[in-house]
Amino acid sequence: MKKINFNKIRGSKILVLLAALVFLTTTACEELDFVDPNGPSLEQTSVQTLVTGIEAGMRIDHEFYLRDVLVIGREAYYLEPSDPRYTGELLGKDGTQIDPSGFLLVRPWGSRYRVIRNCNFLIQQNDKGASGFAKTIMAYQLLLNLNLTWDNGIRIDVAGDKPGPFVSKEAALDHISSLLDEAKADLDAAGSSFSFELSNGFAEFNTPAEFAKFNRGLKARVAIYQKDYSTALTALSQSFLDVGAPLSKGVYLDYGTGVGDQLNPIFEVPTATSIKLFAHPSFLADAEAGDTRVSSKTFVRSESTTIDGLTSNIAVTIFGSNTDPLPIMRNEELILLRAEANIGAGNYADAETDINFIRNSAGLPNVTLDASNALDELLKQKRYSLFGEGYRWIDLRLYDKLDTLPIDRPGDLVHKQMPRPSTEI
Amino acid sequence: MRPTITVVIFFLLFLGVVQAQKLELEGRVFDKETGEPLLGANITIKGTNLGTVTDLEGKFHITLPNFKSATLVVSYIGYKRVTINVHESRYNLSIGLEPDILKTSEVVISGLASSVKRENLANSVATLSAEELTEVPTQTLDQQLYGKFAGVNVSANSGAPGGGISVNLRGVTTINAENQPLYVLDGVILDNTATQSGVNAVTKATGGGNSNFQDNPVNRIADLVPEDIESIEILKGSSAAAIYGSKASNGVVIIKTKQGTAGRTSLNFRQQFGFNELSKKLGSRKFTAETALATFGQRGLEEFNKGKTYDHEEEMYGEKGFIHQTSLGLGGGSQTSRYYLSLYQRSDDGIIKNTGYKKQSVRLNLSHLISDRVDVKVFANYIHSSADRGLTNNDNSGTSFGLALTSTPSFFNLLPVNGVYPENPFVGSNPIQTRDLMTNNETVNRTIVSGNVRFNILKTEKQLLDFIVVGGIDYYTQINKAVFPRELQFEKASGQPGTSILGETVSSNNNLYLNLTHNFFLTPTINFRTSVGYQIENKDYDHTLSVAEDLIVGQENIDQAASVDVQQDRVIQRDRGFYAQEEVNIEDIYFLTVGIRGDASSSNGDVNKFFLFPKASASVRLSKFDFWGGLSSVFPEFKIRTAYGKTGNSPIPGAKYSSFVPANISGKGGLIVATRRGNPNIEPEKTSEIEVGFDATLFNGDGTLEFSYYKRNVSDLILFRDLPPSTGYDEEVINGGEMETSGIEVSLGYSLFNSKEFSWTTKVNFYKTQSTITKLDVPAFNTLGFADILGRFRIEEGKSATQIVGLENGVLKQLGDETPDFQMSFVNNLRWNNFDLGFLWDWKQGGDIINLTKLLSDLFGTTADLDTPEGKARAAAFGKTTHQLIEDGTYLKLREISLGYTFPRQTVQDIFGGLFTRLRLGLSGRNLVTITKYSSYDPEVSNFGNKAIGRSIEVTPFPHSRSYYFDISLGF
Repeated sequence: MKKINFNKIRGSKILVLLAALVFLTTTACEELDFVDPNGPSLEQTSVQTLVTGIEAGMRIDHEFYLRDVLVIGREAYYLEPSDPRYTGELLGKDGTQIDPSGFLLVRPWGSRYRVIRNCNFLIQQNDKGASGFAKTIMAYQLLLNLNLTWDNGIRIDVAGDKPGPFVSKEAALDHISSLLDEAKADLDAAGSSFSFELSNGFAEFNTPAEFAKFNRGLKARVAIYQKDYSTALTALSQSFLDVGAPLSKGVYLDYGTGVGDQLNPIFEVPTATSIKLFAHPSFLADAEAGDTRVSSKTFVRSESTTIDGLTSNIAVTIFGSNTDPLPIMRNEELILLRAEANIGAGNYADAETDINFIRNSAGLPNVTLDASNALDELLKQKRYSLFGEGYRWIDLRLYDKLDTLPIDRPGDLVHKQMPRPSTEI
Repeated sequence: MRPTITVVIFFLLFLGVVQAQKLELEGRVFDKETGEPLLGANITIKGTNLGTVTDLEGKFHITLPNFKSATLVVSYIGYKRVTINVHESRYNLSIGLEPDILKTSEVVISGLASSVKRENLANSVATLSAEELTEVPTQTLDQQLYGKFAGVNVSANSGAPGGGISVNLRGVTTINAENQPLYVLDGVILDNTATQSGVNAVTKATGGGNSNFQDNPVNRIADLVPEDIESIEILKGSSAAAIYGSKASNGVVIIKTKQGTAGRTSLNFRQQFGFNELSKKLGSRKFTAETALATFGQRGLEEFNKGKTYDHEEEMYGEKGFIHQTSLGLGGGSQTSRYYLSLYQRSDDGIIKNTGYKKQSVRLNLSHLISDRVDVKVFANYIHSSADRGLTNNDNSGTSFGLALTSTPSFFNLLPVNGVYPENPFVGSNPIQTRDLMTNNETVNRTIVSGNVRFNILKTEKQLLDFIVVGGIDYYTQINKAVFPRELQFEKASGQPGTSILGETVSSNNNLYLNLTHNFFLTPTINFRTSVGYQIENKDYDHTLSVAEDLIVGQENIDQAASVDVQQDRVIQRDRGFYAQEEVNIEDIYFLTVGIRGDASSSNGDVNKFFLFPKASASVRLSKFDFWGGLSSVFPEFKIRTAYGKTGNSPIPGAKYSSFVPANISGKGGLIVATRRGNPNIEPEKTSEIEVGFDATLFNGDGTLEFSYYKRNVSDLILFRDLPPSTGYDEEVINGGEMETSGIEVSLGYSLFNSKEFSWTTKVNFYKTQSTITKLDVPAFNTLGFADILGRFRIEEGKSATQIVGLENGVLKQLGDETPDFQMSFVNNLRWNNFDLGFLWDWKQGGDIINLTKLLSDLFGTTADLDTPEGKARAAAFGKTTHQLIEDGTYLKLREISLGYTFPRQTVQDIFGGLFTRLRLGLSGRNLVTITKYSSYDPEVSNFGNKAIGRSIEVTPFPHSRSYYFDISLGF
């Protein structure tokens, strides 16, 4: 009954067709595998693009970090009429705590870890110089986040898909310090030049040997946070500290108008109708007469601005244009760090030399230091020398002197640190 | 009792031994009503692959060498099928076919290369024929679908010319993935991307509470010409669409275009003239000196004291836009070659000056029978369209027409005085000036070409094996050009006056299907149909947007500017799939289908993995059994059916990639990790659906009743998961949720009267759907909307996927749902002698809308009722509660109405000297009546365009219009 009517030719045609279908099905998938048409993959990156990306990325959201530490440290007000958090939350208005999900914390925090992710990719590139660069920057970025959360700690194990646990401030500082040492070892083994170019912000630090001097500067800053003064002094001796060099010598975030570049986010025209960043009124009030740093770093506007009960007429003039670089670490800070380490170690005479060097540079006469006045004098010089660079809050916290900060409105608080971001929990 | 299968087989075996006989059959097929011959009617011998077609005079002849008796099945598109039993040779068969008004004899697509008679279909598949598509003309094809099917929800995003319409089949299917159905036109998968125009650079709509674009884009299905279409079939759910695999979760719309008829040249020329006008005005507040001062301060009082009032709405939306549409269709051919040629042009002026829509199209369809073994079909279409869409929807710069109007009190003059447009002191722009001087044009050039080749490899009485190749290309370029000259009020105030926006899109879709179908009669009553195939589908979309600012005076080119920002976005998707399907027809009573499709896609994390999409369905025609007996007077045909199927929805483009983005410094190009981490394991969303239902004909076939219930589960929903920022990333795309939807669909069709003088056919559709989020691997999150206090959509486990939430005195609560309670439509076609009347009512019950247009006019103090107690209470509630912003979107619309007179054939021949035989004059209208309590322009609105969830948000849209036409149709 079932008489199949295929003749041989037809049968073979069908077999050929079926074979063709099987062939197509099994081989086609190769053309489905292609790279992202809209952006490069890891394989398409290079040491140079990763390094440049890290440098550019260090600037992302850094303005939020600076506004946080400047406002909490009562160096400045950020009078932003459309966002009450700068004048409310940051100053602890009526006891307000920092919002763990707010952008003032989450954005700079996340962007620093984004740079760290890039650094981790760079470390895998098997280039000693690049590794030394990456680890140094990684340490710096971790330190910036630790500066925000301090006793609440940070995550340090973030190379994998899932981040490791939060560690204490002490463990974090130890990790940052040893990361800087690893970086130093890589830099020492990296030969006489980097295989990549750095931005203008690293113009004087673009060889492994010179870059290592920046690494040691950071090491000294961290050692002081650890109150390990001898390590700090050793590190400073290997840093770019040089009383014969300009105080401005150092490492910077570079800004520019080129394609895909960024403009200095802190700069404002001091005479513009409305500006947002104002020096805290105490900056003028507390200054010694004749301090040239006051006149060079601020401009007194003819009209005061008042928002949310805060009033100031002092514009910040540490930058002259929207392409001025923003300091990461300067010679002036290193000289002050040496004074700080010497004060910590009880070497008041050595500290006095450096303090007076800084005072004279600012047009102020010498002082004599002893145990009773050395720390206060140091903190004052750091306040004026590094105004606008974001150290005052951190320094006062280190010496448990946050209660010396002025309270502008009844009910305001001085926050000791920020909470862990809610997105991390 | 009916013979069982074994009995049948035994009978056949017995037959095999009997002496073979010869049967010769000859006859003529004609239209029973007019007596005209039907050429090309199909004559098949039941239970075999044997058959023939009628010739130019409707005649046929067939010789059956080994038959003692036979059953002839005579079918012709648009007519009821007829079955005739013969036991001896006949030479004068006279077969009259009746028109199939209710489409009970229709043949419906059941696979990528197979079709099935509607009687046997195990799914609910909705179809629409050419006559039902073009009674009242529309700019775009999707507008023709309103109210014509159960389970199909069509909704315009605004009244802007040129489209922007959502077609949603059976409710919500996804949260973040593609939400529009797959459109297949003559075998080509069409691109339906909605490309943003780029006017966001001016409106800054993304700068506020929501970063989704709100440029009121057009989804490109708008380009198709309704006049070219022969039929539309809608595979609504996964159970019907499974064979389309990983792109079919939103259903499939299969469109076939017209073809000429063998032996008869037909021409249809149609000219329509009309106009459209604003459907509804909102009015504006009547001010007093006190309220002017209180609302607008001293300046307001000064303007008020000038003592004049202006109807800004009339000025802006009051144009009577002229419309004309011309179409010409010419078809014909011989028994081996057929052709169809169409020319089309349409031009609409919008209700806003300087807006409008133009479309031209040429189509040529050819088919040729190379031999009785090979036939070839080619479909080619070129379309040019141009839309001027104005500047509407939300903005954050006071520039969109509607937003500027809500901010401007009626006592301020916006019209130019001595050629100078007054500066509007109440908002950043003078919308009349903006309207008169700006450009926002979208021009598309599109070519859609496809081919279909069928080789018959084997043909015997019992077996038929075909190899079918279907392939095609859909290629278009879209240019968006928006120019805002320097002299506009808001441009002058900007730091970089003058904006020129140029969007360039090149989209290329192609697909190739290779199919083998095998038809096998195991016995005359048991038929197996096997199909297997391989599919190649490619999409390449490339969009470049350039925004130039600080234009040189009088210049529009993007290089004539001080700064230019350029962005490019590409989407490449390549899919490879296979399928196999087996259909079994037993005695025309039982119909079973099983099938599977496997799809691999470049969008999936694992490109080598074939995701499998199975399907199975069964139907039984109960009315064929003896026990049906007495019921057959009520239900002469009654079929129960059940179907299961699974489909997919591709992950959003690029979800799998961990890429880097540019980060430049000191003139060096750098790369930093993107904030979204790629998910190398991302998979398609999967939708499983079970559908059960019945189809019946009523009382002698005068009516049809269809009922379907479906329930489906969408799993592996594509969601965005926040990552701990210490990973260096903000988020990743995951498969992490499930949703359940269910609904019912009922369609009742009835031929109330059907005589030579008077006929009346009516169809009622009823459908409803609901959804629940059953599992969510991420915390509840907000989707579209601007802020809790303004009402927004929120995805929450255990809640409806389309719920609307808001703040009531500080507490977040569910306040509404955009899914309607139900939808109904009433389609009526009446004929009295030479007069015809058609009308369609479309009813949506429920479905809430967030009306922010009213909120804005409340905030700016211009709402008409603001001085009434209700208006005051509503304005005062802002900031405390949200419920006053959420309105019921119930509507009843007279979508279509047409009245026509067809001249007697003889009269027409006399008038035109025999050149034409058909002339119809008609009047028609679209959306002439809208009954709704919704207080803004129209409850059909979507500020964010086509979104799966969150359409129902209104922010100063382009208002809807109604249109009127005069229609002349001439042909032979």
